[in-house]
Amino acid sequence: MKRIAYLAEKLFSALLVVFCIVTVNFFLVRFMPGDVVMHIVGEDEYLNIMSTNPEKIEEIRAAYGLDADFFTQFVRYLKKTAALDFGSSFRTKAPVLDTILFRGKWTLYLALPTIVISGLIGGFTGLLCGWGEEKWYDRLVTRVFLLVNTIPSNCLAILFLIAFAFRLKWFPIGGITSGGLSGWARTADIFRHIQLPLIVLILYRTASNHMLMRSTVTQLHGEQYIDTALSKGLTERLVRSRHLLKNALSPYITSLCMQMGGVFAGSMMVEVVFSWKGMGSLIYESVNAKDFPMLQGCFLLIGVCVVAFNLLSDVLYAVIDPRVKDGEHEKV
Amino acid sequence: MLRIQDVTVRFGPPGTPNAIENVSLDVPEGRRTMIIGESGSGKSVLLMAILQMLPASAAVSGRAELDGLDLMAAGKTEMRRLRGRVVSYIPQGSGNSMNPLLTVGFQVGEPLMIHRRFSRRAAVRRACEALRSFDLGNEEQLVRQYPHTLSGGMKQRALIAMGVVNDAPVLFADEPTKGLDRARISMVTDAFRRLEGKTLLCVTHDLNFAQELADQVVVMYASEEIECGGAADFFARPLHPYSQAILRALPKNGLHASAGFAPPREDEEAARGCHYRMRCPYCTEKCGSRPPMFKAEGRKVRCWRYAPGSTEPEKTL
Repeated sequence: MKRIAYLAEKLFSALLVVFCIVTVNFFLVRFMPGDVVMHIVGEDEYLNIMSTNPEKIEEIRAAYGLDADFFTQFVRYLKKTAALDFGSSFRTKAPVLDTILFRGKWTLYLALPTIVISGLIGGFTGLLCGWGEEKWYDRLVTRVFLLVNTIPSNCLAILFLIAFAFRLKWFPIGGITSGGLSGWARTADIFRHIQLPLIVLILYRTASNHMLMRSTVTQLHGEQYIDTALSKGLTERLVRSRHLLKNALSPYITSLCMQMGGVFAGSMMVEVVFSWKGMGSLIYESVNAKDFPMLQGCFLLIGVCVVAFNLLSDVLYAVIDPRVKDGEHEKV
Repeated sequence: MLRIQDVTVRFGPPGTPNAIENVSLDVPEGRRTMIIGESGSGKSVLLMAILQMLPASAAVSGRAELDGLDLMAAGKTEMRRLRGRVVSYIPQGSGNSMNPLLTVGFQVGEPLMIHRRFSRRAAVRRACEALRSFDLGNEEQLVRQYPHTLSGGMKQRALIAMGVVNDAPVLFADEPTKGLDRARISMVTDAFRRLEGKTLLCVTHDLNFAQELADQVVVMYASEEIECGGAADFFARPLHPYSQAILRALPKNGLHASAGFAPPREDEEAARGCHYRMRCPYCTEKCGSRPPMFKAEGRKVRCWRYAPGSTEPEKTL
């Protein structure tokens, strides 16, 4: 019962945050300096209309419902958002939702394997090195990952691009596919293109996952219940798997859920470097072109994702830790 | 009989002061030995050193012979076999000594799963019986609960049950009354009283608890063992000035507080002589050199006042 109350509270908070995101998204464009119509149709188009046919501005204002009062506009906006109607991009003229779905798919091809593979590898090496702190493998692996962690992802991407694509020519320089291919040949070509950005992202994320897991395990290693477990005659392997892993998983799962939440924007710099036409580069292009309808749609999607995966981490936390349902989590 | 000989532990490189220094004592079979002393005197380190549970960076020397087997020289695999089966460790219940994510029943029954290959269900059933013998109440429900739902006293008794569930003949306990109120201390005392026939080596700050249970008392001060003898004699007539001071500080003996603290281990000047001499009312020039263990009244005491040929020390209690 306590667990249901805990989850209901978390769900309510999540819905409230989503509502806040939607509201902020609505006011963002309206409170920006300049005419709202300019932000909706684009600066160049706005100036063009103003010089050729100023009456059309009012027509556009009416078409977008901007002539109504704030409250009416907000209700209309909520209805449209609920129907996933985010309007059209003034840069490409394509519906925002269609563009986001298309570009989002390519980002997921990069992000999902990254999160899964780096989550598993980083978790495993972090657990091993945290337990064997200061052993030779810890010194080696942790130092390498620390080095990787200190390099910004875009720099790492450029370094890999120069080394493995330009110099060694092991991988294509950029893009998703060479074009003009179909069927298995296209799939194989995409696979060839995806390898280098995927390696960079996995390496980068594995490094941060390793550091998190290692520090958690190092901290837990000093807990009294680990000594208690050892004093019962358990092997180190059993202590690790039975007593340490589950306790170390709570913060790790929270971190992985955060990564999942930022799945659409998390690989932006790498996407830009490798010309990968995903969500990251869509946001980058939209910011450069001041494409507000597109940015609004992207921000909303990213915000909702972050909230949803936060909620998922709360649910998993409640499943793993019995103290959560008893309201003890605030004391621990 | 557990025979501890010259156990010395150092954390850090050579030259670093020792955490415990040449501790030697005999723990009689089937009797309760209490190690008392203030924080940092090295009581818990001694237990951990015997169980080989100190960090790898600790330099440990000495012997701890149990039925001819040196526990401190046992290999990793052999030590794992001995822990929980021959020597059980009972940690303090006030801390985080039980895994917060595993049920009480599982944790209490875990030594049976490890050493006797009990199934999980059978181990939990046996854990339930062990808990029942310490009167925790509603044990069938208790085994399914998590540690955070237990009070300090319940948790400590559950840990004692965990220590005895596998019927280990030797028990090590680390400050089992720490952080407990009077009523709960009495429950824990009662639980220990039920451990008839077990060899108990218990570390505690609680002199009343020690007095109620001990057959033998060992006093440690600033990394050294300074007095060791029968409990009745010790509480009636402590020999070492420090032992006298801690007993005088008990409320029933007038609450006479002793000024000062044990010298830090890094204090080379203090380490050269008797470690207690800075606080000792009987300090003489002789105390500038480290006293060996003397025999007096059938006990061991590390104080020049009990050196052969010394004048009879005055009674203080």
